[in-house]
Amino acid sequence: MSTGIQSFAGKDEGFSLLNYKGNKSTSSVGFVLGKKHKTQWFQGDFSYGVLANQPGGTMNEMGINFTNYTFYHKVKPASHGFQWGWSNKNTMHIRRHNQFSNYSFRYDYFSALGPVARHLLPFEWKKKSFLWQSMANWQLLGIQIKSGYIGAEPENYQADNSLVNNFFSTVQPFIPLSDLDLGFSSTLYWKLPTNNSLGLRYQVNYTKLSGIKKVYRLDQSVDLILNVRLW
Amino acid sequence: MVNKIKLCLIALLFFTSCDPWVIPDDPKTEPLAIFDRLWEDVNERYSFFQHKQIDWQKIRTTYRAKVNNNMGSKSLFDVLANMLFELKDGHVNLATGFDNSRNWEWYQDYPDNYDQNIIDENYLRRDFWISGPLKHQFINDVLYVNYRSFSQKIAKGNLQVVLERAKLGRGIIIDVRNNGGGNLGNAYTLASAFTDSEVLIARERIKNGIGMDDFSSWEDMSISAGENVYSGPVVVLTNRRSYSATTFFAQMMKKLPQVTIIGDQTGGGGGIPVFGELPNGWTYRFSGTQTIDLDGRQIEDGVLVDVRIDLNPISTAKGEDNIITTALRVLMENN
Repeated sequence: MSTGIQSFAGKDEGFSLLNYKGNKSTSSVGFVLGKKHKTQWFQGDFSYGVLANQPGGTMNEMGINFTNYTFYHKVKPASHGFQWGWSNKNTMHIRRHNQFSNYSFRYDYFSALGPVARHLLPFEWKKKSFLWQSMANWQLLGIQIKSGYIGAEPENYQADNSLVNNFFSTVQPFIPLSDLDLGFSSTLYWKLPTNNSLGLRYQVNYTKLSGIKKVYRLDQSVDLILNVRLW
Repeated sequence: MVNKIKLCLIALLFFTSCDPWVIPDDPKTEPLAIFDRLWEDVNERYSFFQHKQIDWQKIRTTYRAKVNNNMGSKSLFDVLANMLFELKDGHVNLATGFDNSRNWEWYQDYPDNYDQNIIDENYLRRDFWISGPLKHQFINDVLYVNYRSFSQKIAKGNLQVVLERAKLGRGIIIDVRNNGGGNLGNAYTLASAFTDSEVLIARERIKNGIGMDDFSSWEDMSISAGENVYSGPVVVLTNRRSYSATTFFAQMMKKLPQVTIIGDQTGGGGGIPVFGELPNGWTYRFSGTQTIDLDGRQIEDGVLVDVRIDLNPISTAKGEDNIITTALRVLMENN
């Protein structure tokens, strides 16, 4: 479990060519399942805040992520060193422009797969145990659905169509390099005598979604983490 | 260990300073850049260039020549406002801290056809009912309902009071003259009170690309069936100041068989406005959709009436609204 603050900068060309920046509150809940040859990590994140552009216009922004990381350690030890794997990230961002009376709501969603790597460095300092984890992920291939040229509805959305038909007519590919999602985090954990741990994490994430109205965002957050060993 | 910490600190410094590299900068705030930004957005998203036969390229040439990077905010505003005025569209505005541009020619060049004092003194009088935003009073055996703005929400309970009261009489007049529009949802709510089945009323499409002809496919607009509806004869009064959501309401009512529209045609406003903002913080709006009636006519040009009549100065001098008199006569003939 974690909670923290996120510095956010973004641009949705469907609203404006101006950048919107601000601080958002974030919270996460994760679950790590350690097996002999692989470690699976499931994490859900939520963030919300009010962003402002340079002249003072504002929008409300909410982000929801659900990410699954899988790290393999068949040859190397699970407790330290480099580990490679893959991740699946599902992200939805919703924003409402506060100065626009119509078409003030826009969103984007993507689900993408890609490689992930982490480095675990356990060390001791003043007879206390620490673990420093650095991790990077790059989402390469997947799908995306996002608001279209004007308004919330994606391109090709038709109100008369069924949900399934609208999904297949509005979904677009998440293409490597044209669409980007890159993340990096660095976390310092202090292992408590109870086998739980406290952590401090810095993470940065950059997203670019292509299309007739591009979406960009860069967020950086600092979180306090409590890891609890369940069994 | 020390080297790894240094490496991470360098990475941290890199990430905290990289947003100008990975997110495009804000556009420039010089007058020429602001002019270009506004012109381009209108060029890419405005929905009535072809319908109104507007040469937007030519307008750019005319007005860009009047802009230079040394001019002040008011001078720039005047040029931009004049450029937007050429769109001849009441849904086009440029909003700044010191002024709002507008084009109100859609009603200013036409008869008023509405006198609030006469309505208050001789028709609503002192004992009218107020049900939410709806003021109503019996005139002979006909319920006269006055609705000033579609921005005012019509609650289900308020509407039921009006409908139940109307059922005691021989007809209902809904006066939306000088109603400048508001929330389209209220137009649907009010129109649904007069039909017990779904009725197709118009078709709309939205800009979906930068080309002048880039639109979505036409989508049906229908009013849904209401509950405990009023099925007697109805007259809707409109004038040129009936605009935007009021134009949509007139179009909805026009498709109902028991409804007669009387007065002057509505002012239009058939394109739903989209919004934008300029690098200096000014905001603007303009039409981004088109709506046509079932004969293919743009309701941007207004909804035509069934009975065309202007206020007669001789009648108004006597305190009479002769448009309401005509409505009463039509309702009596329909009974």
